[in-house]
Order: sequence, then structure tokens, then C-alpha cells
Amino acid sequence: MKKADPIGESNKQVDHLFREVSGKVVAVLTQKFGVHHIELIMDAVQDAFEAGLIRWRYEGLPRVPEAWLMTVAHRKLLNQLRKESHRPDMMAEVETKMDEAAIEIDGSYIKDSQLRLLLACVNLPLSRRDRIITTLHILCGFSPAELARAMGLHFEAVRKSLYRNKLKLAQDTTWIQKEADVNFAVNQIPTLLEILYALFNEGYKSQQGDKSVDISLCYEALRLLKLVNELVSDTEIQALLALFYFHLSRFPARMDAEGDWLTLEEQDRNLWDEHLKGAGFHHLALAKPTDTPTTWYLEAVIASLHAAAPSFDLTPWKMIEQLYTKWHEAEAENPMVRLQALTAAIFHRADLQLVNELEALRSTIEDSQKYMIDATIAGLYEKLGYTEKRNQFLSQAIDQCYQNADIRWLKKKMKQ
Amino acid sequence: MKEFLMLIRENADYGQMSVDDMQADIQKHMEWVEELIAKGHFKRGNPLEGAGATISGNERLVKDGPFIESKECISGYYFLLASSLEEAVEIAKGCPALEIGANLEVREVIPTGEEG
Repeated sequence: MKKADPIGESNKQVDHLFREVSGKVVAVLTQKFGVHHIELIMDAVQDAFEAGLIRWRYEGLPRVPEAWLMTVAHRKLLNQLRKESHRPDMMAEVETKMDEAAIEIDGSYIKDSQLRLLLACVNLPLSRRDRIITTLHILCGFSPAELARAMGLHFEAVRKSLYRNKLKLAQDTTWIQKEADVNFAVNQIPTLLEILYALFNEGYKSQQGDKSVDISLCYEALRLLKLVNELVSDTEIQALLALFYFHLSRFPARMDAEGDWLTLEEQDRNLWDEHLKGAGFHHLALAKPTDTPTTWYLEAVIASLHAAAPSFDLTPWKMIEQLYTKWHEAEAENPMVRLQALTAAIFHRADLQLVNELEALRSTIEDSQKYMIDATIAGLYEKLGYTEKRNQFLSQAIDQCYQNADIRWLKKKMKQ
Repeated sequence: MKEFLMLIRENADYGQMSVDDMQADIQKHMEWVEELIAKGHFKRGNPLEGAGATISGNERLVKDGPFIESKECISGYYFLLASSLEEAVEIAKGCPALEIGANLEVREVIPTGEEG
């Protein structure tokens, strides 16, 4: 029986059908021919898309573009391998695979291939950023230009690192072993989730800095996470899914007509997407941890409290502060979590003592983020009715802030 | 209604396009053709294979393509229906291939074999 789509985001995903198909075709061909051919595989898939482009402009998309692209990419790859196979042993390899003339398109084979390739990408011995762009390139069909745009990087830098990263991937010697070990996936899930979380945040963050950036990174992170969830059962995955859905549900309300971002307090809650919220609650219920709650679970619970709150004032701030405090206990090295706890405190126990607690955080926070301390203190003074103090800290925040969207927001506050 | 041949020449370096761009390009073309059909301007159209050959002169000198890799090749053609060259040109201006750097050529087809 086909599962219903309670989420309703499938419509949005149709917009990026080719991206999804690109990742699938690359994954299946890699599964079949080995990761050492990744460069040739990527080229073959690109060629297949070009062939599709020329044809479909005239006749429209076929009923199953995926099957067409899979077949064409497979044929192009075989041709290329044949051309390059001077060595007799290579020739044998190609001919064996030729025998299986048409490529199997079986749903579970595709998914297994995708998971395997995804794990290979997120486990590359590279920086987090490099793993993110490699994942987006290989599994989501992002071109270097798109990646540069989406991640705020230089095109040449992206192109060069993709080239290097693909070489690294091609040398992944654990690839063969992984096939033998059916449970290989489970112990690699934490790294995988960390990268998908970072990928999601890239998209989420970029909404603030640059209004032209769309939320496609967030949806790619969600799509990959859903894929993982279909194959591996894990409460951590559920927690992260819940978190993604809660965050996505707020997107329609996150910006005003001018493209400036709005705080939770300023957002029109009627614009929050009910379907996505519902999906968040659905996955949160499945995320209940058996022992100590993880930070993702705590973050998802916090997001659910916001989602359930009828208004900003009626948000259970005390509980939110406690959850952030719990989170900070688990991640003591992250002062931003502590800042969140204190921010929640402002809304249920505002007093001057909090200024000291906020000031105490200042030295632990990165310079580029210090303006957030001032902005938060300004918020506290506003709550307590000290207008002059509020303005003093607001202008201090503006002086230290380098993010245009945030400066605009702070200046707007100043005028109020 | 007169008939016009529209040739699409493009620099077939699609390497810079992302799959998302390609999907968008196909979508635009489909919508454009639908509009042409709705307005009665479309007769037929086809893409051309990259592979092919040129045959020249008395010596029948044959040169094999793939032309798709040459700087600019004809990637496809349309037969359009319009009342004048001016109208055909206006129609051609709507072709989405122009957005990715294509050149179009529009020529009226001279009808033959009809009893005047």
C-alpha cells in the first residue's frame, strides 16, 4: 500500500525533480561500476541530461524521465569505459557489465545505492564544508555555480575543491568492504546526521543573509534524511526530521515583504505551515529517546513548543529555558546555546541580574557573534523599561555586526 | 498563413548548466510550444542529433560530425506559421533558447508544386 503523504511537501519537491534523479542515477551507476569511476559517472550523467534537454524541449518530459536518463547514462558510461579500456582486464570488466544490458531500476536498489554513496561522501576525510559541497554535488546534482551561490563561496574555489574531493572519493578503499557488511550504515549514522544538520543550517542561515537564496538546501537535507529514515530505524533520525519540519513550517513567515527577516515575536503565526508542523509532531513522537535525550531531541522539543504556542507571549519560556540549559549541559563548549537559554529567561524572569549573566558570556563567544550579546541585553532592557540603556546596547550591537540583514533588523528596532 | 523555418543555432556547451537549469529550460520550452500551438503558430519542430556529416563539392568530400562539439551547431528546427516575416520574427523572439545564448534564423518557406 502506498503511504499517504501527510507532509504535502512533495509538490515542492517536484520543482527539483532533475536534482533528485541526478543523484539517483549517479548512485546506481556508482553501485554498479564502483566509486573509482565517479568522475566518468558524473560526466555520463551530465551527458544524459544534455541529451534529454535537447529532446524534451520539443516533445516534453517522458512519463518516467528517471528510467530514460538511467538507460542513456548507463549506455554513455559503457561507451566511455570501452574507449578507455586499453587494458585487457578492464575490457573484461566492461564486457561483464555489458551483459546485463539494461540497467535494473528497482526502488530498493536505488535507495541502497544512494545511502551507500551518501555515507561515502559524508565520511570523506575532508572539512565539514567540503563534505557538504561534495554531497550536494554528487547526490543532489548541484553544479559548481549553484553551490557557489548557495554557500556564498567563490566559483573557482568550489570547482577546485570538487575536483579534489572527487579524487579522494575515487580512492575510497573502504567502498568494497562496505558492500560486504550489511550493517555498515548504523555506526556511521551520527556523522551522516551531523552533515545533514549542517547542510540544513546552511540553507536556513542563508535566508537571513541573502534574500535571493532559496530554501533548496533545506529541502535537499530533508530529502536525504527521509531517504535514510526509510532504510535505518533510529530515534536520532526521527528527532532531526522533527526539527527540520518544525523549522520549515516557519519559513513562510520568516520574512517581511521587503525580504528582511522577522523574529519569532514578529512573525505572523497564521502563516506557519500546518502540514509541516504536523509532520514535525509526528516525527517527534517517534523520536522519544530510550536513555539520555540527545541535543537534537532537545532542539526538536524546543521547536515543538514554539510550534504549539498560540502566541509569543503564551510560549512556555520557563520550560524552554530549562531545555536550553539541559542542552548546554550536553554541549558545554557551545556558548550560543547558553545565550539561547538566557534569551528565554528574559521572557519569564526578566531582572537586572540577567545582564551580568549575559556579560559573563561575552568572553566565550566568537568576535563575529558578540553583537548578539549586546542585542540580547538591549532586549532585556527594553523588557524592563530602560529605554536609554536599550538604545545604548542596540547601537553597540550595530557597531559590531557585519551581517547586513542583522544590521537592518537592529536599525529597525532602534527606530521603534 | 505563411510557413517559416526557424533554425536554432547554439553553442552546445551545456556544461555550465546545472540539472536544475536544464529542467527550467525544458519547462520554458514546453510552455512556449504549448502557447504556439494554442495560437496556431506551430506546425512542427524537431531536435537534431549531434552526429552527422557534411558532403561538399564535386569531389563529394565527406566530413563526419559530431557537430555538437563545434562552436555553434544547429540543435533543432521549427516550422512556424505566421502572416508575415515580421510576425515570425516576433514569435521567434519568444523562444527560450535565446536565454541561454542561442542564435535563431527565420526564413520563409517558398511553397512549390502548387498550381498558381
